[in-house]
Amino acid sequence: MNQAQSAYLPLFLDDRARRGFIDSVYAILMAPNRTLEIMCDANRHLANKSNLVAASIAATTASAVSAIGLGQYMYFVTGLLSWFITANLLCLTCKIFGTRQIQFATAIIASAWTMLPLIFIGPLACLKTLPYSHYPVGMAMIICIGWSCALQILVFKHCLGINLARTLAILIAAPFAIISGAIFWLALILISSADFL
Amino acid sequence: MRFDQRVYAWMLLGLCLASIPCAFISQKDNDKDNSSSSGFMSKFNDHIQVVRLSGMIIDKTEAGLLSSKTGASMSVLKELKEALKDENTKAVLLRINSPGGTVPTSQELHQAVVNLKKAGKPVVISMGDLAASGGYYIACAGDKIYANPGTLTGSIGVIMNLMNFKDLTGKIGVNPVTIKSGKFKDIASPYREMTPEDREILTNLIMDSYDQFTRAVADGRKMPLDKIKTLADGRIYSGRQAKKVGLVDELGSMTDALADLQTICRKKYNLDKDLAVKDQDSQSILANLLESRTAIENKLDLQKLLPSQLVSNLSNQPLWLYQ
Repeated sequence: MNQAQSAYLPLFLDDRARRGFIDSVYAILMAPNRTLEIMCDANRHLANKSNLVAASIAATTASAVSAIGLGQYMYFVTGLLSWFITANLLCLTCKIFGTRQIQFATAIIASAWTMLPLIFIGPLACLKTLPYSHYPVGMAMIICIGWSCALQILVFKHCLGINLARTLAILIAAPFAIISGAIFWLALILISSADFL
Repeated sequence: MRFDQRVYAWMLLGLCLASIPCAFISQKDNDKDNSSSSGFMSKFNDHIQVVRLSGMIIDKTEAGLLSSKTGASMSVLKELKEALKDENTKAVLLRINSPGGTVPTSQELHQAVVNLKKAGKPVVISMGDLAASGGYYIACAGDKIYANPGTLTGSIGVIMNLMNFKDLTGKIGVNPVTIKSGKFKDIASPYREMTPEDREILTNLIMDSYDQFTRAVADGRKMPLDKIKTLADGRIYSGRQAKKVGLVDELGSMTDALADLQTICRKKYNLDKDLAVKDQDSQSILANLLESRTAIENKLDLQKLLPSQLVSNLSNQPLWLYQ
């Protein structure tokens, strides 16, 4: 790697450097895969108070800005809830499918930073007043949400310690199997009790 | 060069945070344009509740495990009571499409509308194809009644359907035996002729029910009782005829009724924009899917083919029903 290339590499990736809040922001946006790999490793990125506070600020700000941007203030609460649910799900998935265990604090930190792209929904919402902007702005907002989801998949990948294909298989196939099973049994109950409904 | 990363990141973050007031203002402008939308959030904001009453008014909850059938009397009663309790419900638009039904259920629904009015929540009625008899009884409790010119309304009166099988039972050799505690215990028995005393008792019952009906209409429409009694000979009126005789206030569609209700709310609550509208008909996809399960008729309802005299729920009792 030449000097020009390394100059653009986030400071966060350097294990010897002191990582601040703003370094995490830059790193998540510029080198998400490697950054999340570090964040999911408790030995390289400690689950201490300062890192927890930084992650909480990121998640809360992203939730608030996206809720204001989308004009639904309940999304702020929903965003925070989904952060905690994702962290819990991460721990649970690692317990069942993972090659290693992760601490809840690590899961909280990693999943909080996956919400960072939602912060761009705020500036995008400002463009909604422009003529003919509803469709492109809406699409851009969906891209932000998709970006956040992609980061969540990366977090699962690094926490589980398996490759992307297997991670996707677990994240897509497992809920699909559970939901299919639930629908099958629910349908069976509904059909068998049709006369009582 | 490392320093630049932080500057860029701070600038980006600053831009996003600085956009919050701008996004907030743009969202408010957007809300002004879409204030009448019936989204999920309207539940938590001040709104107008649309309630739809359709079909026979009868105390029968058409409910399944997952849902209740929209428009059934008991679910309408529940919705009206919820609207009364819910502080965010500022007014109610009641859409009626009913030929009437049993007296007590009509009275419960009428009382629910009166309670809403007493609580200071305006109630505007929009009549659909038919709002007759018990349907009109409920409508007259509203602040304002809208009907389409072709709506069938009126039919103010009471009816009781009785059948007599005495000759039939004699023909087929069936001899019914009745053991009773009092003279009039089998007053509406289909197995014997009606006596003059029976007829008098039942006529008094009907006329008492009629008196309750006409008084409620006179109170609701703020018209003299004598005038109501001249109109209340059981005849039906078209919406246009009903407007002429004062049984409805305006001719117009449900949209007109809603627009008028918005105007009433703006004046009453000093609002500079319309309230959101919560309409049960525009529910989520999941709710519609669940509702559709109960909407499928899985067996032939023979009762619908029978005249009301033969339907057990509607026979042997006074009815506020258009037939």
